[in-house]
Amino acid sequence: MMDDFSNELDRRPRPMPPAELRERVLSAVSRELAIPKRRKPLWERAAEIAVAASLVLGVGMNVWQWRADQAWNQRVFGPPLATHEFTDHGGGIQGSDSQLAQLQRQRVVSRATSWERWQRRGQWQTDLAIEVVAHRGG
Amino acid sequence: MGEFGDRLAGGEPAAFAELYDACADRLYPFLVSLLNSRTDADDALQETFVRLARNRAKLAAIDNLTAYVFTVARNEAMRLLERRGRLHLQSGSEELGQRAAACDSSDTESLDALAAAVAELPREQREIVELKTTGQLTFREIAEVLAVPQGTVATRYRAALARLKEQLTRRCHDG
Repeated sequence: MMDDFSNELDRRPRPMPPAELRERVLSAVSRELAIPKRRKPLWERAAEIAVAASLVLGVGMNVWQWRADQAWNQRVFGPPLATHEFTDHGGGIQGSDSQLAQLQRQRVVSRATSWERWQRRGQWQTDLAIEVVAHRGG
Repeated sequence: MGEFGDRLAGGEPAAFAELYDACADRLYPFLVSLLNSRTDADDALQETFVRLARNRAKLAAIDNLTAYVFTVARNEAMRLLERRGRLHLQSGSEELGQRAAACDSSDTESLDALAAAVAELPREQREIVELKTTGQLTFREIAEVLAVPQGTVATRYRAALARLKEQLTRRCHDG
């Protein structure tokens, strides 16, 4: 039933495009096709490249600066032994549990030694750092 | 689509002429139905092809060129309606309305009555009826053109047919 009705719909009189419309449309299309593709002006492309390059340069310089800071810090202060939180915690437990505090100091020493071995830096830096930690912890 | 799409993308005028010959007879009634005006349909059809020519680089990558052309044509029609503040017109082809006939023994007049009933459908349903019948598009293609799910298209189409039947039956009884 629905199909019959669809067939009826297909048979409706439908407006056809006037013959002159074809010429009109195709002329407009030809005019459009004849327009040369707009290229971006040189200054616009140069500006885009400059922005992209400065972004890359900025990121690169930040990375370089961060690495230089790390290297300088290690050269002057040696490798980081323990965080402030770690040594503060050690000092805090010294009064209540001296055995645990001792154990913590030993762990710091063992870590410092392994760092020292790994980095092959001056022993005096590591020893000094261990003493500072031990003193603050004890 | 491949080769033909490449020719269009390459800006070959003959390819656009072929596209016009293949689509215009189906596009034009659809545009007249949407715009309720032959003059506006002329403009919309021209703008459709100019837009296709302007964005021709995309055409090589289009899978279903028919659905794409109908989508562009519909967008042009909507743009035209919006510019003229008629986007919310729901129905009413004056031309067809005047020809609306009561149920009659004459086949031509009953087809005119059917055309008038289609013109009175809400736009969402009328679009689907026109795309399906004059556009000869599948439900999948219509869904692509209207950017709605295929199930919605089928439901709206069935609702439109039911409404048309009801309208025609009423006309018969009234007439």
